[in-house]
Amino acid sequence: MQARSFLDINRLSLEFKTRNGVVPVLDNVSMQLNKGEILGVVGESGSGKSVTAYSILNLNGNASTITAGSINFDGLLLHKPSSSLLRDIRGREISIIFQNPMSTLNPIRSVRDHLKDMLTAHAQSTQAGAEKKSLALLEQVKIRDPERVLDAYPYELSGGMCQRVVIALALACSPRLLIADEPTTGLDVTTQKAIMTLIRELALKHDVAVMLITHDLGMAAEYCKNIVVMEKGKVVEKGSVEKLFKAPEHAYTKKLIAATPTAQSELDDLTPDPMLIAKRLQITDDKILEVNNLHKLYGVKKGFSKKETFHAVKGVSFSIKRGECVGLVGESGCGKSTISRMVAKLDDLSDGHIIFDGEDIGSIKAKDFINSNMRKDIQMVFQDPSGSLNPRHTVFDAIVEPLKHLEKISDKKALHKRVLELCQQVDLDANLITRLPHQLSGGQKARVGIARAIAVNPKLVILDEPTSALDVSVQAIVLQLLEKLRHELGLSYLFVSHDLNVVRLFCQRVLVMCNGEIVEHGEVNDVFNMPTNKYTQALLDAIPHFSVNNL
Amino acid sequence: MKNWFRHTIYIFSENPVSIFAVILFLLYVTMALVGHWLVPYDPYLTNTDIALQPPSVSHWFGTDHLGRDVFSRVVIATRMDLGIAFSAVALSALVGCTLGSLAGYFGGWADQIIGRFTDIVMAFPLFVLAMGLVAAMGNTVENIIYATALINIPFYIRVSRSEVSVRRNLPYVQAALQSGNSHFRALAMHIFPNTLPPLMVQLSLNSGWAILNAAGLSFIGLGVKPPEAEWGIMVAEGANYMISGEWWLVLFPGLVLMMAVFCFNLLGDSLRDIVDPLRRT
Amino acid sequence: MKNKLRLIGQRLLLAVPVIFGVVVISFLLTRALPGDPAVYFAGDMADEQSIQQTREKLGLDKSLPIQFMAYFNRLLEGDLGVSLSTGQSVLFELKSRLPASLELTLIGLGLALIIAVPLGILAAINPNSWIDHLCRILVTAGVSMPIFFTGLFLVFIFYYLLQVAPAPIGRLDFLFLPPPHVTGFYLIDAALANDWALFKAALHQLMLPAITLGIFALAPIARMTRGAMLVSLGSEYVKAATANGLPRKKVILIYAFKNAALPLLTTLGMVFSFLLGANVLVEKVFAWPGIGSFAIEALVASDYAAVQGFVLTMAMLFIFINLLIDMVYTLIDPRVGN
Repeated sequence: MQARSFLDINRLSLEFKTRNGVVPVLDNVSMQLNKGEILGVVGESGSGKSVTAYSILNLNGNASTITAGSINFDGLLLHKPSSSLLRDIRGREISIIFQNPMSTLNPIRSVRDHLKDMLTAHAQSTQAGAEKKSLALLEQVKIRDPERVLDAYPYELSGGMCQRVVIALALACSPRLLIADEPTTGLDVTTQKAIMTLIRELALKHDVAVMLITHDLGMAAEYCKNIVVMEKGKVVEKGSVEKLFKAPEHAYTKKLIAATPTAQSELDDLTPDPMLIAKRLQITDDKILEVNNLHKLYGVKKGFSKKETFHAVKGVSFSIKRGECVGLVGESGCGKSTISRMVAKLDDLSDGHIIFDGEDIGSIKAKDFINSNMRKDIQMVFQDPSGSLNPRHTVFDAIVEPLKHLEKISDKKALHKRVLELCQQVDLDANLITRLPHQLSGGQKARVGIARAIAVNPKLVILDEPTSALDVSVQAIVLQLLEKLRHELGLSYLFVSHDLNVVRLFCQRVLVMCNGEIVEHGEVNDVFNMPTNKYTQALLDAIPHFSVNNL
Repeated sequence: MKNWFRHTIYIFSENPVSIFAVILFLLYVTMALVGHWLVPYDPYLTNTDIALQPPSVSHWFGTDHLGRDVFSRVVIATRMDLGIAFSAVALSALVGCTLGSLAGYFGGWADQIIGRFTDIVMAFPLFVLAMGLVAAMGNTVENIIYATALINIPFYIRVSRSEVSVRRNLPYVQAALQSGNSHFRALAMHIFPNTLPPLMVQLSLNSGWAILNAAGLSFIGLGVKPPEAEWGIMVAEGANYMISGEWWLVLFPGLVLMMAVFCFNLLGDSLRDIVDPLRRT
Repeated sequence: MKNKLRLIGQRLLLAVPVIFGVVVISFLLTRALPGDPAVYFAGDMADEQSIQQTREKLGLDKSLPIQFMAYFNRLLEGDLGVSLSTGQSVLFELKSRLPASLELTLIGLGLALIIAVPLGILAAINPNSWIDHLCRILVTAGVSMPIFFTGLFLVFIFYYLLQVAPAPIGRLDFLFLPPPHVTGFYLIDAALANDWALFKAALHQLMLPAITLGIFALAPIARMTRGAMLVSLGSEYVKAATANGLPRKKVILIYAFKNAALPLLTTLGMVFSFLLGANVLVEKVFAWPGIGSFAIEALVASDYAAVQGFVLTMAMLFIFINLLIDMVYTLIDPRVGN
């Protein structure tokens, strides 16, 4: 007989009551977690992984109903909990940490208040002893100056620091199970590694079982022993990391594994049947873009009349050859978005030169560039698919904007024909052109953004993190699409991203940025295999390393 | 056009209360437009013989202190009150949204000046400012409209300024600029239409408030002059008689006034839903 | 703390141009608009010569900027002019009548807060329950009801029909004399003088008008409380606090309500704006001898100095209240000032 697991979710089914009727969200979900184990629950958006985790602590709200199945936590039945059971369990036996640490903490309560609330709620300490215990908890999560942090408010702390405080709160009452719901999404790559290492260390030290919810298969492989793969509310496969990667059974698992970029994968590996590229582009030495000593200063108002200047970009120089794809990587705040905006002429530079196709466009003001006949040669694909489309415009309206204003086409038939052509090029179903953005999926919105950008046959396309908000399987397809378009239309790309694995398989050369400066640059394989700069090395180390061969 | 109509029906069918609000609204508009021709008695005809009669079959709302039929006066007052309210709101929305959008988009000294102007107007308790303005300009219907419009402008400036500045940095605006739109075009054609949903709520609530404002001014003698029929002035004239028991002079105009404002408040949310693209399926 | 005090100082400084703008507008209200003020100031029986004399005496023949300087100087000395109808200085009239209005407004506001805030909280934590529906109905009805109508209606029901309320004739019945003046607030002064019969009488008269104002203020306060509570209850940090097992009462009061109190505080400013205007109407209905009824009498008598003084005083009062609210907000929100 199999020993009963520590946490046993057995055939759980759950539905939500919405305005449009009852929606089934979980269907027959089963998974087990053993004491001291780290289990990874992996899935893309809509897979139901977070809902499963929340149902353990009954956090799904009154509109949700468990229709079948059970949740057994060391003998306690949690699928129909009484409020006294919940009070006992929450925060004390089972803790949960959420995705965005800044919003998980109450903005008007200090760290001290948070810890005191937690400790007194579960009778872990008296009012007097709370301070000492709080400091100890902060030290435990490797916060170097706990006295300062104790009196700080969330807005004064960085994302990583906030997450450490959240972990301290979660472990304050010595729970036996910790649920981590995407704990590192939204944090910088280097911070992500620090947080995950901390969680693993603390889990081992205090014998806490961890359920790690993530969309990142690579991260799950590095930190977990067993993995459960979910799709559309169902569990499609589960097993040890070795078994899953060496011999995946379900088609979805295979698709997910293929689509997750690793240090070895190539662009064609990402999907089972990659797009065929008709003609291969030859890259010559002819430069389409040259950036020399670019600077950007922002004046930041601090108080009544004081003005501080923030030097966002400090003397950056690089070039892009015709037909080439150059990656620009760095963590948030390094200045990569600022550079992309200046090259796209959406923002003015403070100093330096931008030479595009032989002409100095740096001196033209951003607001005057609209009248230049080079406006259509430089186009940008934006990051956030939801924010990049006007909520009132249909797909058709969005794509014709540049055609109407930059190519001055007014004939309705001609516009319609061109839009259909573009839809075909980006593999977008023509029936969708009358839809509004909120009626489209993430991948469809991304394609509309791409269609809009290539509508006027630009020479340089700036891709500002075009896939970071997309599911990894959708990202795979979009990246292959972009590659196909580059070859077919002879485009040059500036690819801004924080994801090093994607940059490696998508770009020819890469620029690594830190604090407004380029710290390293070169061919992708050179930079990634033999980095010369310490920061580059740190970035590379932070990516979850897992390779099927090493298992 | 057909899509809009279908969408409107869908919005109203979702919420039965809104149907009630629409019917009421249409009733008021009808009263305002054709009331003058449909009332049973001449609203200005005085007849002291039949003064202060309680509601009866011949005079549904009774007669007032000068023998005029209260029902007829209440109905024709609709045109006066709704007319003042709509004119004032339209004027303040036009001026306020333009100023607020420009301030929210371009910032700089335009924003500073418009901001100071808004601060100064809002430094006055609004009804008090209206009192002062009408007292200074003289109480004619035009002046009541201008005064009500002026005190409402800051609301529209604030709403449109904040809605525009939130959207100004969104990627789709950058995309619009990149597609060849000038800043003005981007503001007018891309940003502003997206600020309509919250604006609709404001317009509706404001209309209700404008009616209350005009009635309040009339109540203290700064509004419409007798023998004009307006809900507020009817309540003022009837106030003295309320205390001695002739309740119908105050109740009916007051109730009709209240229902009009109530109807506008309910309508706000529905109007917003009609204009909001996210509610389209 | 130092930063916060500096921020408060900045806010006070920023109020100066606004005050100046308010003074300019008050000035312009009577001077730059059509009509000849000299005619009004000279009185009904004046002939051409005395109108001219009045014009010169008041400096109305000088240019507008010079008139403004004169007006501004007089203001700094506390001279708001003389009331035509009473013959007393406008400042004196306003000062002696202000306590009556303030007593009424504060009690009305207090009543509203006691009912509206708990109602809003309960409505937010029990969505779609009967209390939520009650709250929404009260709010929608409350913002629709003209305050003068509410007042008259209450008088009709409670005075005329049920005869439990006194006649709407002012602060005290004829039989009583006002208490010895300490603050001008009859309730406080009567209590200080230990005259409990007088206290009861003053309270009796205060009831209906205060309830009228209370009903008026209840709607926006309940609406804002409910709205702000719904926002905080739906926030990530409340979800996290619940997940951490904090007791429900603490989550609602400390985590949700304390955060909701901030936008509620800024709404109070708006509510005061409405209340100060509504005051005028309530004072007319209940014959309350406050600054509102003073203004109404002044309007009827074309007493321009009085009207101007009234508008200016109300604006100053409102600016002061807003600054106070702003200061409290700056002090209690830890994010501000850093």
